[in-house]
Amino acid sequence: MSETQTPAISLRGVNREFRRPRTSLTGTPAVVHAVRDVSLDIQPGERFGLVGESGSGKSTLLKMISGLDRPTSGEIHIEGQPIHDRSVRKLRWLRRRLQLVFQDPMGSLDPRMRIREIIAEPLAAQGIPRGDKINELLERVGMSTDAARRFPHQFSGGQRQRISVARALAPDPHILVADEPVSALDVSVRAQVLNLIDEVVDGFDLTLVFVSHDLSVVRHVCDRVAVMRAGEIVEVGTTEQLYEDPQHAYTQQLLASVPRLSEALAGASAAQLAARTRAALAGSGAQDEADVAALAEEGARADAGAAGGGGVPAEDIRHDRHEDEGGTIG
Amino acid sequence: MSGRRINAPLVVGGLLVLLVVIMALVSYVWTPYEFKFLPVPKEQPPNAEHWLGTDRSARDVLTQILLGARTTLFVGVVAVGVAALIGVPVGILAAMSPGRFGQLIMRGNDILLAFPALLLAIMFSTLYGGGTTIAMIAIGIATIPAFARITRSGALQVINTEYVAASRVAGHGPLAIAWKHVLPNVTGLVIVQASVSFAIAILAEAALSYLGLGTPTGEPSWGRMLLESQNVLHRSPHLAIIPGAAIAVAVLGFNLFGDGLRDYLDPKLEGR
Amino acid sequence: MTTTTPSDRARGQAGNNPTERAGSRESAPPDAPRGEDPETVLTVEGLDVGAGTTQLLHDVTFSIQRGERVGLIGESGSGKSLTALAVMGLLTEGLAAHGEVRLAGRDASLLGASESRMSRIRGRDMAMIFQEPMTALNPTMKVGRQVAEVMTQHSQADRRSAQRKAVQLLDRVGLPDPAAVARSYPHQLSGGQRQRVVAAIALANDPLLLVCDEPTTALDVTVQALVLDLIVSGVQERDAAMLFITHDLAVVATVCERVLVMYGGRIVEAGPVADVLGNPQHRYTQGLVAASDLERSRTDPGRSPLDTIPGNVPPAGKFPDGCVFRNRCAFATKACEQLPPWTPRGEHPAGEHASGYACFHPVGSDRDE
Repeated sequence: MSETQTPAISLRGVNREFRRPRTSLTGTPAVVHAVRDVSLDIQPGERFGLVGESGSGKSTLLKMISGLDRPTSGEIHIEGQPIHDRSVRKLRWLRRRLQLVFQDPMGSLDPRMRIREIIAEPLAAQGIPRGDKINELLERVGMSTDAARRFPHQFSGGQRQRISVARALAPDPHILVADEPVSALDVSVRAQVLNLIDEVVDGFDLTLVFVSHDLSVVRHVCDRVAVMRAGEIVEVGTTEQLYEDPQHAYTQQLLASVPRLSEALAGASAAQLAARTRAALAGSGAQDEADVAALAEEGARADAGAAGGGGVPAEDIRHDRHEDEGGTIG
Repeated sequence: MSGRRINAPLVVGGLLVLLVVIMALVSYVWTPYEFKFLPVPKEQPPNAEHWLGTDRSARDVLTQILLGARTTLFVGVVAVGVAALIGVPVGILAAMSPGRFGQLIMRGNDILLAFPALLLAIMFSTLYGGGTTIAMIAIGIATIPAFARITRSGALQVINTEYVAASRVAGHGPLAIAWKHVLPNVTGLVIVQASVSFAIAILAEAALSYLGLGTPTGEPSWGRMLLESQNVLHRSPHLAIIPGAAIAVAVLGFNLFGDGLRDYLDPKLEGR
Repeated sequence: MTTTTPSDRARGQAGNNPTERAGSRESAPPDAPRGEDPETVLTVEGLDVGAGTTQLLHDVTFSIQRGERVGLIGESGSGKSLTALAVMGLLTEGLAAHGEVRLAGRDASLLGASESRMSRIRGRDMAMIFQEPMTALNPTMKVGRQVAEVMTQHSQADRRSAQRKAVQLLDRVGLPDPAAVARSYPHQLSGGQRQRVVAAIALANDPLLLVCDEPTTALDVTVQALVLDLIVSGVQERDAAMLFITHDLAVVATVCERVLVMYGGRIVEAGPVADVLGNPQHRYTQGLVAASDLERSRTDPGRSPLDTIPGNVPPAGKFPDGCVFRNRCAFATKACEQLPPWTPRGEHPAGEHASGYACFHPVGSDRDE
């Protein structure tokens, strides 16, 4: 990675705020700061992990990187081109560069569409002829080609996640963003999907942004990791640095609280795990669990809002969509 | 579509609806008698010459039932058609429109919802003259909010799914998303609403006819038959029972058919 | 409670002091079946559960002793949650259960027990902690009252003293300012706090058996570590038995002494945690442990692929006959079309089903090399 290379993803001072709905007629609505002043460069070919607990702002950040949400302030460039001040409709070019794999293997595939149509969606939207591409993609992700004419519900969670990967690969993107892609999967299937992601990232020379709450999964997949808490990135480092020698107290706390099979088999008890967690909590300045929880819940509301899921800051989101979509539909 | 399960409500409802449709079609080529006063005794019970008897004005009941099937279908199609064609797009628009605009649509919708359907029909009939079509357009307009509301709630769920986010990431605009994802996923709700509204429209037509604002005298209608029978109910109950049964068959048929169609169209119910 | 049997009353009056309760348990009820270990709290024997023609659980047999913490691991569709629900008598309508579920040497099987009998046992003799604490609490009732209610339901304790005890219990599950928590509604608490409240309710009557169904899956890791400790210490203090359901091998190894591995509605392997997860015998357990081992494979230079189990977990009722794992197993032979017999592994005080496996080609057999 040379100094002059254009980063695949570049964030500069990115902030995202949501307004909470007013609870009284006279009061001013509270503001939730979902992402605070995030600056980050992700180089082409890098496998970048984003770790945080629920409400850390990682989902909001990911939506902004994917052009599904816009920052309140700050700049986001994908391969040198700005996306922070563009409406969703003007980001068509972005879709050939960056694609997403979602968390929920059922919810991310339209139950009324056949697999063929689902995988063809990015092609149809870009006006790319599909040719034999659907079958090639299905084979690439380890599915048989007769899957094409079936519906999502006819597949298991792992198979659906393979289909999601095939869809993401359809427009030949340079960047793959994966949002908790294995957290809804069974252990035996999780390994298959992680191997698949590994394989396609290498095979297609992709830049990977991998978001997860599971530290060990991120450790397995990524070269470099950022830890988020309450909207801020508290620590960034290579996977080795971060896991072997965490600098920030919060990173230490996260690592301390993960139960590990090897330790447990060697006799580590729940009491010992809790003691280690409490010691780390004291180190990170949190008074007790309640502090941690309050922080997390606040952020979780912000994340829910960013998802547009009828969450608290819906007002703000709708405002954005107005500008984005008014031209076509309104 | 291979593998799709034909379900019992679909078959039973479909047969009942088919019965109504056949009656309407038969009436175009054949009726036992003409629809007019016949030189025969009034209020005959069912007999060999008049299979379903005659009414207070000595008209053949079977003839009226067959001709009335046309009115019934016409009434349902007009009212539900108007309501669905306007209500569904309005609901999707409201769901996908941001902030104030979407809210404005729904508030307008609420006002319309608060307006009694029959009152609207009476207003329309007074302004534009009576007649089945005018009355049913009014009923249809009054039913728009029901469709808009149910479509919006379904559409809101759909646009918050990850597959819609995936579609946006794929590069689709809102119109494509509305067409490819939202509309197919709210059809089940719309079908159920349509079957309920169809039944309501049939009953509304009967009520309006009674008030002299729906189907005019001299045009056959099951609702009209039912209402005309009420003064002679004690001595000629068949005059109420027969059109009542016809209405029940149509209403039940459309409700069952709606339920069955919704399940039939749901790919999730297709065998694994 | 309108009808109380003499033994019920005796237990009710034993109060909420754990040591006192433990003492009263020593004298086994006279109707205890002969030959049964008085230490055994829960016995499940030949439990079958089916929905229509689809059988979901096959011949599930295990027992849990006093003070023993037993884990139940498996993937979705393995039947682990169904087992817990059958034990608690909470199977939904349309599910038929056969076999025996006996609690603390009571004569009659709990399967098919009347709802009124089950509701006397649930919340007092056995309690459950669910995955989603929000749905386990009544959103319209203050937390303190919900804790107090479970106590007044099962004993003659009056309202006021129950309220006082509720606050004490909330204090014991580590909630800061328990009096304030008692006055709040569930939605005013965080996820971790809510799960603590659920734990307080479950432990309120010092149950003989605590069933936990993925109690920390919805929580963040930090909170998970603390809640796990709370559950384990609560169970230890009361010398209660615990059945802990999870899909997380590291969690089960941290929390439990013994583990049951379920796949396709059957228990395929059981035994002490160190044996089963450290040195698995069944090919499924072996695959599961290998597939979840992210740490080991990362240390390999050049990032070797993870070990996987081929194929997918079949949908319920679509598992093969004979060995349920044979269609995904690299070692399967013709022999596996028959149901593999249970092979006990070592001696265990809780009987031969406490430790063993059901596999024709266990790890270390000749075909391995």
